[in-house]
Amino acid sequence: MASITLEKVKKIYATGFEAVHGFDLHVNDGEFVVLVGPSGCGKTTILRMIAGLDDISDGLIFIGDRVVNKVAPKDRDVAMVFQNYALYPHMTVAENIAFALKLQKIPKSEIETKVLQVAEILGLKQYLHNRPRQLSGGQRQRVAMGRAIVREPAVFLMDEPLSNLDASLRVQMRAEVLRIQRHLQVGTLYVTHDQVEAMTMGDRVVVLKDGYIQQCDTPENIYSHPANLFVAAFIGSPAMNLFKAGISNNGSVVDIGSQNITLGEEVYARCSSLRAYAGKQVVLGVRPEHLTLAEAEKPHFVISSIIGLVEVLGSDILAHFSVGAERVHIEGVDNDGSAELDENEFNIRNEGIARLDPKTPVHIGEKVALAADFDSIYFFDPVSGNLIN
Amino acid sequence: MLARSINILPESTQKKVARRADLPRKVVGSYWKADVVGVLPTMLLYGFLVLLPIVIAAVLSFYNWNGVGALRFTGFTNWDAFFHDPIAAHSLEVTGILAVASWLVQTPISIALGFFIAGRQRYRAVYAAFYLLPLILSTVGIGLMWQALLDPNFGGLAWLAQNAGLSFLQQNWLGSNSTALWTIVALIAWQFIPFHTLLYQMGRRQVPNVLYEAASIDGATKWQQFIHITLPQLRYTIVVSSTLMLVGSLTYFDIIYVLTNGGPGDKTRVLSLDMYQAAFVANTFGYASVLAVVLGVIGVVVALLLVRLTGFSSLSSQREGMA
Repeated sequence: MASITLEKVKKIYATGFEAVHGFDLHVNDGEFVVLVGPSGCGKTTILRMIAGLDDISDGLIFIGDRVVNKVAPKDRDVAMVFQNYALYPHMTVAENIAFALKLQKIPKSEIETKVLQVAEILGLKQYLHNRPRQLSGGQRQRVAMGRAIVREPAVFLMDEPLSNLDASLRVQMRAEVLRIQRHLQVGTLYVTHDQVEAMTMGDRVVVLKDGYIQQCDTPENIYSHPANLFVAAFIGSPAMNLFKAGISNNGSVVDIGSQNITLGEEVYARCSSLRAYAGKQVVLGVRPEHLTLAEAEKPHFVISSIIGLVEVLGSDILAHFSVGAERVHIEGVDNDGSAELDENEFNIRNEGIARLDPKTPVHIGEKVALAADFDSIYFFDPVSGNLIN
Repeated sequence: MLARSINILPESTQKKVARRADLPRKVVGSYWKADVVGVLPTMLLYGFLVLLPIVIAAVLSFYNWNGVGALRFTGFTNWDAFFHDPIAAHSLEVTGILAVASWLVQTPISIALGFFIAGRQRYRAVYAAFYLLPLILSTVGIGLMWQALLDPNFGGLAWLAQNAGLSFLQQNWLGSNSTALWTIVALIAWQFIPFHTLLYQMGRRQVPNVLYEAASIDGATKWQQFIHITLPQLRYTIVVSSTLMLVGSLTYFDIIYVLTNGGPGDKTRVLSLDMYQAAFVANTFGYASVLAVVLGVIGVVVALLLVRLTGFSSLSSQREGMA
C-alpha cells in the first residue's frame, strides 16, 4: 500500500492539444480521492497516466517513494477498474479474478483460497464458473472489483466504474465500493463525472475543468466554500442560483435586476474583500436548499420573486422563480449527467430554483418573497469567477 | 427425442421457433411460402452446382466409363482397387504432408504479418499492396513464373548463386527428391499467406484495446498478452483460416501440375493430381470418381472436426460479456 503523488504533470497530445496542465496532487495511503469534472476535463487522462497506459509529457508521478514515469503498467503495482469493466470474455469469473495471480506464478492452492475470499466479499461465490456474458451488469462490475482487490495492490484506480449501471444499482454499488475500500485501506483515486458520487464517496474531492484543478478539498468545504463559479455551479443539485448583481457605491445595498436589497453587516464580517467591490458588478449565488419563504420579523436576505413552475418531489418541492435579473450560466456544468439534469433547461429561461418544504404554499404565477440567511449568500468576481471572501 | 433435438438448437433459433409457434396458423403459412420462394434460387444453384456433381461422382464410382461410350456397372471393383493401390496410398500420404506442412508454415507467418498490418506503422498501405500481390495473380501464372525463377540453369536463383556468391541457392529445387515437396510447400505459402494475413489482420483489429490495457495492468508481458488475450480472442479466426488452409490444401492441383506434374518420380504426386491422371490421362472416370469421393469425404471430416473440437458451432460471440 502506498500514496500517489503527482508533481506538475502535463499531458500534451501529438496534435499539440494540452489536456492536463501542470497537475499537482497527493493521495495519502488509505485515502479515497475523487476526481470530478465534466467530460473532456482530463480526469481519465490523469488516471491513465498514473496507470501507465498513457505517456506523461512532463512532470513526475510517484507511487509511494518511487518515480514511475518510465515504469511499465505491469510493474507499477496498481489495479484499475475500467468504465466498461474490460473483463476477459473467454475466461470464467474465477479465471478473471485469478489472472493477475496466475501471472505472478503464485501456487495454485493459494490462488484458490484468495479467489474464494474475494468471491465471498463480493457475493460472487455461486458465479465463479460462469462466463462474464452470463452475468448481469452489477455482477460484472463486482467481478471487475474482484480482479482489482485480489492482487492487494499498492493503489486502486477507478475510472467511472459505476456509470454503466442503472440508477438504483449505482447507489447500492457506491456503498459497496466504499465499504471495500475502507476495509482494505488502500489509497484510491476515483474518476467520475457524477457530483453525487464525488460528494458521497470522497475523503477529498478534486474538481477539474479543462485540465486545471478548480478546487481540491473535503466534500463539506467544496460545498460550503466553493472556490469559484464553476465549482459553485457544478457541485450541488439542483445547481446554485447565480445572478448578475451590482454593489452600491456605499456598499450597503446589492442590486439584482430592479430590486435593491440591503446587506447586513454580517456579510462584510464574512467576506471582507467585498468592500473593494463597492460600485462594481458581482455575481450573487444562493443554493436552492437555502431559500425559504420570508418571515417578516427576521433580518434576512429577501428577494421578491414570481413562481414560474412548481415540481413536487414528495420530500421537497422545487419552485422555479424569476427575479427579473439575468442568470449566470456556467459552461460545462450541464454535462454532469446527474438525474436532475432537466433543471438546466429551465435555467435557460433565467429562472432560479428554490428547494422548499413540501408544505410550503406556493403556486404558479404567485409573487412571493424568498429569503436566505446572509451566511448562505455567496459573491463571486464576475471576471475571474473567484469567490469573494 | 424431438424435445431433445430442439434443446440443442442455438438459443436464437429456439426463440424464433417459439415465436413462430405463437403466430396464428394463417400467418405462418404465408411466411412459409415466402421463405421457400426466397431461398429457391440459391437452393437450385447449390443443388445443380454442388450436390448434383457429388451424387454423380458417388454413382460413377460404381461404374467403369472411359469418357465416351456406355457405362458399365462394376459394383465395388473401383473401391477395391483403391484400397489396394500403392500409388493412391502414396498420394494420400503426400497430400497429408502437404496439408499439415502448409498449415504449419502459413499459420504463424500469417498471424505475424496480420498483426503487423493491423498496427499503425507508416507506409503500412504500401507494404500491404506489395505483399498482397500474389493474391491477385493466377495460379498458373505463379507456377510459370516460379518455374522460370527456379530453373537450375537459367533461373533467377541460379543467377544469384553464380553472381552473388550465394552458392547454396544452386539447387535443382523442383527436380530433386529432397527439395521438390518443400519447394511446393513454400510456393503455396507464398501464394496463400496474403489471404490469411488479411483474415488475421481483421481478427486482430477487432480485439478491443481495453483488454490489453487490463492485462498489462494485471501484470502480463507482451508475450503473455498474446497467449492469454490474443489467441483466445482470435479463436474463430484461427478456425476459419485453418479450415480454409487444410481443406484447401486437399485441392492443390494447378500449381503442382504446372511446376512438377507430380515429379520427380511420385514425390509431389498429390491425390488431386492422381485423380486428374486417372480421369483425363488413363480415361478411367469410375476410378477417378472414387478418388474424388475420398477427397470430398476427407474435406468434410476435417472441416467438421475443426468446427466440433473448437466449439465454433456454438456461434457465441468472443467479445460478449466484456463490458
